[in-house]
Amino acid sequence: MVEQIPLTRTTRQLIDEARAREDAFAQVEGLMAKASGTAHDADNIVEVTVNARGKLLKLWLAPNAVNYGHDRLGSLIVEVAQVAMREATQDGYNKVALLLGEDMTYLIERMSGMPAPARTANDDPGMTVEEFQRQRAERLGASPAPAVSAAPAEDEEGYWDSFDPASLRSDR
Amino acid sequence: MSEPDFDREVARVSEHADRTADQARERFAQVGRVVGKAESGDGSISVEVSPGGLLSEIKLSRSALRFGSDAIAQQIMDLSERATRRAGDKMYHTLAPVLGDSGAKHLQSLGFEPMPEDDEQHVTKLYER
Repeated sequence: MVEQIPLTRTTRQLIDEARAREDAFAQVEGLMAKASGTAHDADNIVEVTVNARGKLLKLWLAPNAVNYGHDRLGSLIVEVAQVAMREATQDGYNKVALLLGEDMTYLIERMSGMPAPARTANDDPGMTVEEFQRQRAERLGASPAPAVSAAPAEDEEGYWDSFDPASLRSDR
Repeated sequence: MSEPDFDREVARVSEHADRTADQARERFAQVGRVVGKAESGDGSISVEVSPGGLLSEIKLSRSALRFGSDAIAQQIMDLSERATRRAGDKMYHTLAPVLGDSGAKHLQSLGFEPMPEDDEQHVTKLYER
């Protein structure tokens, strides 16, 4: 009998964990429903906001949109709506990932057959750390640092061999 | 006490899922592409959406442009709302027979709902006006 005590505890823990996971999953739908994405065309003629299912939430057309041509304006709105939906999908997954973590979110993406747009190879990777730091320095009014081109990749191993963690700045 | 036969249970669930998917495919083959459409009274603006509401086509006639940007945007919003309800209704009627009661409830939670009949008549009237 005594031997069964740890087993009972483990089972209870497992059940608790399963329930916690179930609760978290139950929130996924709600989070995806709250997600939205906005996009506009390069000339700022059309701005569209949709939810993660693609439903139109807001449509704004610039006053000069009527000069764009009746045949082209319709397809421009459709195109911008599709970009907005990619944004909304990513927004939804970002919210889900905060709740369930990266691994579980990846699992949901695979189950739904709708991968997060940020995972696609041609997604905009954003800016490099070096570029961010250079822009930050500029914003703070320091003398503009030289623009850093692509990260020096030729001697990466040598870089890490000589890397001293003490060289990292601390804000604390 | 015998161990639950997980393999058999998994096989049963996945066989059920495969069967449902096959039936759903057949339904889609019968129904064709599931979309929702709506058109303005004078026919100058027409909108087509996929289930869920994503715009798949907007047709504007030259005469639609005389309403001005704000009015066109508002009209497209209204038509896309109506088209989305129609696509949801079509989706519901395509999949509900395959999914059974619990599945049908799930469809509704996804926004694929049958339109009340009077609503459809109202919409048809607007559509034909």
